[in-house]
Amino acid sequence: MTNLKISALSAGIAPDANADVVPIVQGGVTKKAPVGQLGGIIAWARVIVTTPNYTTTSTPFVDVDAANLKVTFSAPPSGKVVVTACFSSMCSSGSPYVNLRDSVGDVANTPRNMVSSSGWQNSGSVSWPLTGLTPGTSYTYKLGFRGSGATTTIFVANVLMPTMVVWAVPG
Amino acid sequence: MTATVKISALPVATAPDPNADVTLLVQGGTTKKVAIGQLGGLLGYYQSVQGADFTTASITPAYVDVDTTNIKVTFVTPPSGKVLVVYNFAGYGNTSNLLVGVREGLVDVAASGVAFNGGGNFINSSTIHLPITGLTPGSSHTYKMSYASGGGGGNVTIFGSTNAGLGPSMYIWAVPG
Repeated sequence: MTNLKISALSAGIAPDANADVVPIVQGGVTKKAPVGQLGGIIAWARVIVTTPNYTTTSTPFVDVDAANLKVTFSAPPSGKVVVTACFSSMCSSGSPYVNLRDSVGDVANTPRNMVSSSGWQNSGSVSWPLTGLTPGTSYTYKLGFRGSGATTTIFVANVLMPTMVVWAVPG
Repeated sequence: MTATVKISALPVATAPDPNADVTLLVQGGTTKKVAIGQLGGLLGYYQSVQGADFTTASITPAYVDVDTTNIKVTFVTPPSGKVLVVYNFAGYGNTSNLLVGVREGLVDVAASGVAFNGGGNFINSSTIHLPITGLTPGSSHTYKMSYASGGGGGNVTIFGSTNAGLGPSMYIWAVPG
């Protein structure tokens, strides 16, 4: 059997959170652990355009930017992730709302009220802890938004670059 | 002949370099190496413990450091050349918008156009993400939290721990890719 230094091995690409494994020593025994058990960032998205802003007058949720403001990842062994989105938003009357959407539509229990006064712009992030995902299955989530009949705006990078990040949760 | 040693018997390493230090990775049935930074972990953070508020009247685009000495994080760039800077803080602008950014030395690396709307002394607390790309893998950087007024006069303020319970915090995460 040939011995090789780790440094002499070929480099892997960005790992799959469920399928790719690393060795760990647990209770004195060497085992394998999927990368997703280490709890890091497993996907992100950002929108770098500086104009135009995203607007909607829709009352049902609609995608903010189905092509760019979305994250795709392989669910970790725990079936748990935290999805976050950070952006600046405003509603001309009432509060802006955001949620997560997938290929079917709105993801249950993800609407959030951004709680800004009418006409006031606010920047911040929203977190969605998701459980019950199937390990190894690929998921794509998009950011959705709506108002209360008035115009809701999510600003682009001239105000704050919209981002989405997915963290694996060990377990 | 190579001696066999249990991993648990090896010496304990220091905090790894996210670009130069590697671990084993089994990918598609093949054993490879992967840089630690490809695992998407935290590269560094700072939690301010200053009691007094941080205030400036400096108007954009003239961002200034919030606290040059303390609110900064030094890190090594992961293989992707991408990091995510995360701030958690409370503050307000008494007339103008409060803007936050990232500075390295005297150079602006990233900035928000608006963090909090100014006027009316509305106080807000939030977490802001500023993604950075295009860094050279393995390069070392020291990023500082910066802020500025959106113009229109008056001061912008980020609360210290006396008024906010906890001062501003800064986190830098490795982004795989």
